[in-house]
Amino acid sequence: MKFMVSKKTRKTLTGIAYISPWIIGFSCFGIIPLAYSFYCSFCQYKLGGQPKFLLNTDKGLFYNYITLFSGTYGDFYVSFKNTFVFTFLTTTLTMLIGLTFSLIINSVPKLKRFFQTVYYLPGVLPLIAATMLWEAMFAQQGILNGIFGWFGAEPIIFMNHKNAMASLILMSVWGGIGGKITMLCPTIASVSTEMLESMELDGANTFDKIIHAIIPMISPTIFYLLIMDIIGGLQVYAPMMMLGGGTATVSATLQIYNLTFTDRAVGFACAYAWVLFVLILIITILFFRFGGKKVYYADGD
Amino acid sequence: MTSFKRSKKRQRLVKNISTYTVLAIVGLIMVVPTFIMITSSFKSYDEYYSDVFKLLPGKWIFDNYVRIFTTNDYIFRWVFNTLILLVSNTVIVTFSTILIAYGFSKYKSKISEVLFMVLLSTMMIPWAVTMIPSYVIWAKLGLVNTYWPLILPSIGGSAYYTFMLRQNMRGIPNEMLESAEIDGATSWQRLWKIVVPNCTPAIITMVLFTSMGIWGDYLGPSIYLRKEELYNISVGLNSLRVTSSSASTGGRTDAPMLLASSVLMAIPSIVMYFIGTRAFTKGISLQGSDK
Repeated sequence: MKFMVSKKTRKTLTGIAYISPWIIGFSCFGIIPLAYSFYCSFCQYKLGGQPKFLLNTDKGLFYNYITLFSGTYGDFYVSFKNTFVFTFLTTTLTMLIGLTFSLIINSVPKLKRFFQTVYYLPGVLPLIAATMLWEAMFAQQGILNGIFGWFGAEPIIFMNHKNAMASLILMSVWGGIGGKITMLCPTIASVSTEMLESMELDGANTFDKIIHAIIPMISPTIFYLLIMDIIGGLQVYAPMMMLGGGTATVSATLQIYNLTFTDRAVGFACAYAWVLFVLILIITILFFRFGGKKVYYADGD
Repeated sequence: MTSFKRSKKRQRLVKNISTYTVLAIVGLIMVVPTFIMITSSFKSYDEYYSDVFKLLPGKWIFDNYVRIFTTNDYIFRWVFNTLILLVSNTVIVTFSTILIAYGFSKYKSKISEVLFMVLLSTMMIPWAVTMIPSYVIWAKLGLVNTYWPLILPSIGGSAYYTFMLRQNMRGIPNEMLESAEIDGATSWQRLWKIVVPNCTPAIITMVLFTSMGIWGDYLGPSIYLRKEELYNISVGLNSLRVTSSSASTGGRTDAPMLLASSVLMAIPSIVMYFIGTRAFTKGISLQGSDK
């Protein structure tokens, strides 16, 4: 007798077969490291040595977490504060500037594509190229001070304790605006012109149209971009890792990297990473809860 | 009436001119750093440091570009290594992501719906959580200083592009696939003959952006590749950045050479962006053709 499988089951199985690369990949490079990292966060573990479960020591199971939260080791609060400052300012500034210029680019009759490309150019530079570029910009005898010098300004030390964070935010906003414009411009262009024209006949000015029609219509894209920016921002490490800035700019992820490869304290680093993970989860859920309501979906979904 | 129309026209003209002026000025600010990077790479070392405030070099020289290749033994090796990583990762990611997106969009079931939610939520897992244990595990397997840790994880595809491609594939009418099925096309043939050709822009976008990402990738290679001959370009150039400030340069970094190497490294990225820019706008539409 032939082994019979219903059509529905066969469809399910075919689907699973196609998804299987992801299932394999996620199990090996997602679940296993996650589980191991969770275990390590409850271990005393020097890189290169063997993990020792904390219950088998006299320190107590939550020793790594307690030490981090007590603030005595690992610059825990400093790096979290830096991460929040960076994420908040970078996300808001790139979105505000990106949205403003998307609206402006959409309002002109010609050269839309040209301006989109020009604004996106900084985002195309590879990290290391952007780093070298901004290192030259920020140097004390560097390019920015040169330009400010034309206007008679005193040279600024960009990467000292006071200015480092602002400098890194400037660099990130410069690189990030283009991405927002590339996503927002086509979306704004897709807003129904009939609706805008009928609003115009009712006496609405440009400002009304933007606030009451365009922004609500593109809110799903804005919401999506903000979520991605926040999740990405909370994990930032590249600018501070490449350009430095010490404790004035060290971010959560960079601190985790330093704990692992400089201090070789894998247990602490894993505990720190899990705190960051939970924090990102909470922030994302809150954002969906409260921000999601304000998003307008045309199909009422 | 006509004069009213004319003044309205003039008003619009004035408005357009001022808008273009604003766009041009800000556009200039966006481009100036890149422009300075290019011009500075043609300045001599002495001119760069004595006259950094001058936008254009007094004398255009190519010595900085020559120096990249004459003072570094490994530069060609780094380019070659990067190309190996780029081709293998892009091929694997693209192939996997196409299969995964096809499974999620055309073979929906209760299980796959749940798995898709899992896939989306994986985008929230901070990379730092898995980085450390992954490194420890690869180290225990003795595979640090090989390309395996940088290539094998690509098998799982990219969550972000799976989402994008799935949106695209859902837009392909099922009737089209069903009629092909009646004509005897297998599921595999339907994927490559009907589905893939119908989402070419999205796939090109994915290929180009994945390649750009790997071309400039720094962190992964910096963790796993610790021998000079294994470096990719980013790690290699970063090592130059650190070592170029030697006694022979008076402790200052060899900025013109570094900027020259940045220019060379940026060119492929910019070219890839320009090739893909048309496909990009077609493929990236987030709203999806979800009907």
